[in-house]
Amino acid sequence: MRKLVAMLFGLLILATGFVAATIWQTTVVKDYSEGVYGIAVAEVGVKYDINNPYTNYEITYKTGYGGLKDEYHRQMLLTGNPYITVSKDYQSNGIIVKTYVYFDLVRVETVVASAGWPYT
Amino acid sequence: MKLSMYFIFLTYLMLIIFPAEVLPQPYWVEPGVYITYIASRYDPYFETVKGATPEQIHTAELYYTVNGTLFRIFANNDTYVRFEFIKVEKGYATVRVAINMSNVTISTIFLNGTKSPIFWNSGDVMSEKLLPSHEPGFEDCVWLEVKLEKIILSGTYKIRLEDGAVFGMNGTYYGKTFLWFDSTNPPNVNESIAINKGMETTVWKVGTLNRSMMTYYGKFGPPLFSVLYSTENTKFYQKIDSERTYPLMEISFGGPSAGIVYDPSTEIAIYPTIIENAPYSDFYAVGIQWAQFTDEKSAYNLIVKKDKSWGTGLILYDTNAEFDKVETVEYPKPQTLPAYFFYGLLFVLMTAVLTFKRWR
Repeated sequence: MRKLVAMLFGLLILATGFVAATIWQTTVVKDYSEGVYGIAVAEVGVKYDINNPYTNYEITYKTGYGGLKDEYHRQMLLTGNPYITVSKDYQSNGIIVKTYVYFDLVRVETVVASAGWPYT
Repeated sequence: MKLSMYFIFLTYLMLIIFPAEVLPQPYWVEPGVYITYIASRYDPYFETVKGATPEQIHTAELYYTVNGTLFRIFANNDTYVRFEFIKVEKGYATVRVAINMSNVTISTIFLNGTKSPIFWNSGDVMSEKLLPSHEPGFEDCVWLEVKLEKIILSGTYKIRLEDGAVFGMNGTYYGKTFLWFDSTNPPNVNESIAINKGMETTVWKVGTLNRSMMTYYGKFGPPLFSVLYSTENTKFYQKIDSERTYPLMEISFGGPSAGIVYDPSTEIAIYPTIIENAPYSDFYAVGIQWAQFTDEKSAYNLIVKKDKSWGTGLILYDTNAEFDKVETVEYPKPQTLPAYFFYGLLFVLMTAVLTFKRWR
């Protein structure tokens, strides 16, 4: 019984030490790409243990945006061209945002942004 | 009796000369006929994609459901999509679609300790990883990432010939086929052409292109026929358990979502995914929830060489349908001189038949 209590006490000390040694930090990984017509933005929020940043971490959010630059967005509203498709792929460690830009039936551009943790 | 035989002969003559004017489906829809499209890899294209690594540039991106599990499937090398009419009977065509991809990455997320369905050959696996999830609320999940040399996704479905309606083999209705269009009855704006799990695709705009376009099969047009589509912005979720879902992909549109270029002479789709996306019933019916295809060689021709005789997406690559590789096609088909000739011939034949009958 004494041995068991001693062992549990030892484990408690170890666990307390481990918790005390974990220092959490937060960061944001962001990527931005632009072409002639379009842009793509990808972002992840990360909370990580500064001693083990790539094994002990949480990805707190994954987000992104794709669109046209302002002048082409105004042109699109007036004429219907250029127009876009935006895809966001939520991956195991981050996000990839792709903006495809078209004029009529012609694709003129693809812009890609990606963000992840461990940093990609 | 003989007179009726002549009318039967004349009817066949009309069917041969003006097939699309009479039949709702193209004359080439027969058992054994196949149509193959390609989305090819072309490394010089990579430099045109701003901000991407080569691994992020794909010829095909699919979201595919197997036994309730949603998989993301990306192909980095050539992708072929082949439709084959296996059977045509009782007003329905049974079609087999096979998507042949190489240098493939498959990924998905699911509860740790459970098994995901396996629909690939173990001999084609180059690497396989199970990665722990690091997201709050999904700590009990794992990500599966499998790299394959190649994979063929295939399935069969049915097309009702009288109106092109597409059904899964269990009878579920998914919309209308994209494989052909009825030139005598073009689609109307806002008409629904595909529906899957509440996501509807409707006609945005129809039009005529007064130019020709190149494909790997041959040159088509002018004129050509284009249809643009509209689809709601959508997310594709993996079901984790009875309470949780996880979004694998989100797609949104600032304009049309999809487009097809048809050759009006043969009614075949020569560029079925010219805006890359394929929100079509022919894919839904075999479990593909979303598909995007990019032919990188033609995209390079478009973007770098400014050669607008090419489009992108999937491109007609091969078919054994019996129509000529014509440089120019006539449309509408029965036009002035040929039409006068045909109706003149018809008049002479009928007069001859009636005169012959009267003399007897």
